[in-house]
Amino acid sequence: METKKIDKNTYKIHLIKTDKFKNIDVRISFRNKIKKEEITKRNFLTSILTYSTKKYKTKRDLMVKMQDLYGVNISAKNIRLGNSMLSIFTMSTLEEQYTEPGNLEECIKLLFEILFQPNVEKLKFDKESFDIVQKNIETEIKSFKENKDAYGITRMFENMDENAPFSYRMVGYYDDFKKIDQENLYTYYKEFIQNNIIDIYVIGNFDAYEVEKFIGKYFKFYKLNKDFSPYIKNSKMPKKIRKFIETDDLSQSKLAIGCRYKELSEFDFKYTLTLYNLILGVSSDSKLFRVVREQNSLAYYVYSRISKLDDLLLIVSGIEGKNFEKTFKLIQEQMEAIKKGDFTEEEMEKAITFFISALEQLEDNQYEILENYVSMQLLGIDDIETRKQKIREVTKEDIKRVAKSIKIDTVYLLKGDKKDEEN
Amino acid sequence: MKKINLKGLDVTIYTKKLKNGLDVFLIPYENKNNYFLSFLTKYGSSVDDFVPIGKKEFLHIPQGVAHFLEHKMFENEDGSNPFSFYSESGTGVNANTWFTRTQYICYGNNEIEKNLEYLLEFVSAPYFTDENVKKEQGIIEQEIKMYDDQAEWKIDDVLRLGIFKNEPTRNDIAGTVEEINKITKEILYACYYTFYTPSNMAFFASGKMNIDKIEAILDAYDVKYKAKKTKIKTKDYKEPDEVYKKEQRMKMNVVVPKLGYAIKINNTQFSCTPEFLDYYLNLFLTIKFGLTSKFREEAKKEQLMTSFYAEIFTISDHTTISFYADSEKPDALIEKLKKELLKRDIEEEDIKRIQKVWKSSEVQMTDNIEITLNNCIQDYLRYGQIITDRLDKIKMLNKKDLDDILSKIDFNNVSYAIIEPKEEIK
Repeated sequence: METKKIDKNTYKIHLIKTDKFKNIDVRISFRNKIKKEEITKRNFLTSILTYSTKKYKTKRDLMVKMQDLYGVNISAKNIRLGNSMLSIFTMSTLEEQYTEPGNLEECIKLLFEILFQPNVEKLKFDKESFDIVQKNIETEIKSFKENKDAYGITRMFENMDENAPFSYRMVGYYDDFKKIDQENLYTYYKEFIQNNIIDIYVIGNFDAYEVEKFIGKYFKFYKLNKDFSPYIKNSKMPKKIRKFIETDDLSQSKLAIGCRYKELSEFDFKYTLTLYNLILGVSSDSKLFRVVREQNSLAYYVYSRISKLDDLLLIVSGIEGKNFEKTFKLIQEQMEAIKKGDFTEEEMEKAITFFISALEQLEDNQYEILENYVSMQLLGIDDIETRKQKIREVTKEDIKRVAKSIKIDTVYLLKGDKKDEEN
Repeated sequence: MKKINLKGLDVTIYTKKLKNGLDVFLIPYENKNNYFLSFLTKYGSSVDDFVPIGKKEFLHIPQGVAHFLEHKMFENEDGSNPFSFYSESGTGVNANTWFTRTQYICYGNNEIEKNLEYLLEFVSAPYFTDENVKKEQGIIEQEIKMYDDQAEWKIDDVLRLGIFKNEPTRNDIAGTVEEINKITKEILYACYYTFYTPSNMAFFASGKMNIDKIEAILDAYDVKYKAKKTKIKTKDYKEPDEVYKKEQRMKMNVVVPKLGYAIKINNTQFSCTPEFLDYYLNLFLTIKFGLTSKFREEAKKEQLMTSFYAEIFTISDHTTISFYADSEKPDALIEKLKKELLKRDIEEEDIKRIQKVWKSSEVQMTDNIEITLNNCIQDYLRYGQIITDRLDKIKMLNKKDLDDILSKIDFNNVSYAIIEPKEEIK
């Protein structure tokens, strides 16, 4: 595998050459600071751009074109990383050995066509496409509550700090949605296309010279935007645990616990914290899984997750409403146990092996290789070899120290009040 | 071992049948670091009545036993468990139950041989007690309730209750809370010894492996677990061809109504093989209702639906074509669907385009060891063999045969379900 980074001054091209896969993926990422009021508009925009273009007036026309190019897949998504928002456009196609000469250029051309030749007439997005995308977005926003796990976690974060980016609803907001029309969406498009930091990534078996040439041919970008760190640093530690209970018409109650930590050393932040989380609640052999599920039969799932970009630790489970206090107590006990050093060498060794094995397994997956590369570039994560080596340097004392700095901030229960649950 | 090649796809499969009856399929990849193993039994939630091994009378079991059994296989007599064992080498372990099979999988990049030995071992050593059965009831109760709150699962569960009258396939794979509380260790043992015999099982592996070493481990397993002379007797549910209920409506805690719409077909009436039946039904769905369909475009323009997808499903003699949609006007969508299903407007050029896409997708899938393994398992369960010339067969698809199949289907043999919100949409 060979990587090459080309600085085009106003944007960067990253080429990752590997012959392990039959696909070539091209990804364009648009990145800037997240603003709550921009999320809905941005979702609308990426949806409408991938819905139709100047030349392919409907979704159907566009899809027929993609099928003609041997089923090339072009899609877009918006994600939040800490205090940044990314719009990622991905094109995935088979290499020409399995299609025909010229196919790769055609696919790259189509990707840029989607971005730069939108279906716009007289400074307005096309009405037909607009109406259909509008309905989709409206449904998505309205049905956000239907995914109870995600909803419970979001409500916990909103109770924790409603102004922090980690509590933003990435599906968007109905009030913002209502303000969007064909005209102001196009105005926003023009801003969007100018005011983001742009990276283009290509991974697969391709001719680097040729691919760079294609990109130059179909993509021009002249504005230089200032880069920034996506990390949100936590400044306030909780003085006491805050509990919130809301009810909903559910069979199962959803528990979400938000914890904070602050001012960890770089090593603790990068490695000790990761190992702490693995011991606490990542795998089916972690403390939470063993105690909450296997020993006490309280849940089918229970896990912990670290969001390093937000300085947060999250613990999630689905339980019986009446078992809330009991479950919460058991979770607290497990966190206390790690503080006191009540974990074995074997637990540490297993967590390290899990971490290393996951890094090694990533090499078989094109998407994961790219994700890992992006994380290294964007988030300053160490390379795989360094990570494998450093994780071994974590000691039991390190873990106890980090465990002590983690404090529970907010506990949230979305309590199911379906009748059959009360017996 | 017998060597078979997937034509045009650079994939070679090594296969054999052990003396004890276990079917083995190995798919080695030279350029991968990881491996994926699946040990499965051809037993799932679609059996509620059978003659236990060594008995003469039929036994009726509660719903959800196959899935319950899957959970309980993770319990060993000496108190150790697979989660703990596999985490020593950073290997993932899991299991899942489907209507027609239960599989135990492990995946990783370390110690494949040791992990394989353990997989064969733990799935071959049941240990059920009154206490560990009781313990699992609480866990599975939460699993059932988790799915119960998810409307996209619920719509499928409700739809099956309308399609099937007698087949246990109509019930949720995990059962209901009431049913799983009837499960005892005796029931679990009866199921285990009947369905978990090598001749009713298969082993699949893909990824990085040394074929000879894997074969040696399987041979040792063959010596240790002898064949049992048994014929598994399960009940013929005499499922009628007609749908059980035409229409079901229920209210749930959702914001946007959900529609499920299914056509039930007797699949023994066609002259083509099951494989071609599947190709043609999928071709029909892709062209008529897929991303390039006129139907989808119009229905979206008329704001009849937002998300929408279709799939086919086969259980013994019946195949269903099912549509699922988020729709604020489900009844209007049903009318439109009905009309569209009867329109015969597929052109040769549509078929050509889909053939091109399918060929690309077959090539793409071979890059992924897990997908390739799952495709082989599906072939094995559905067709009784691995399909080696899929690309050639895709090339053979034509309008005449498609029309012939469609002409035999009664598109009025429909069952549908609608989940409506409890509260009005604001």
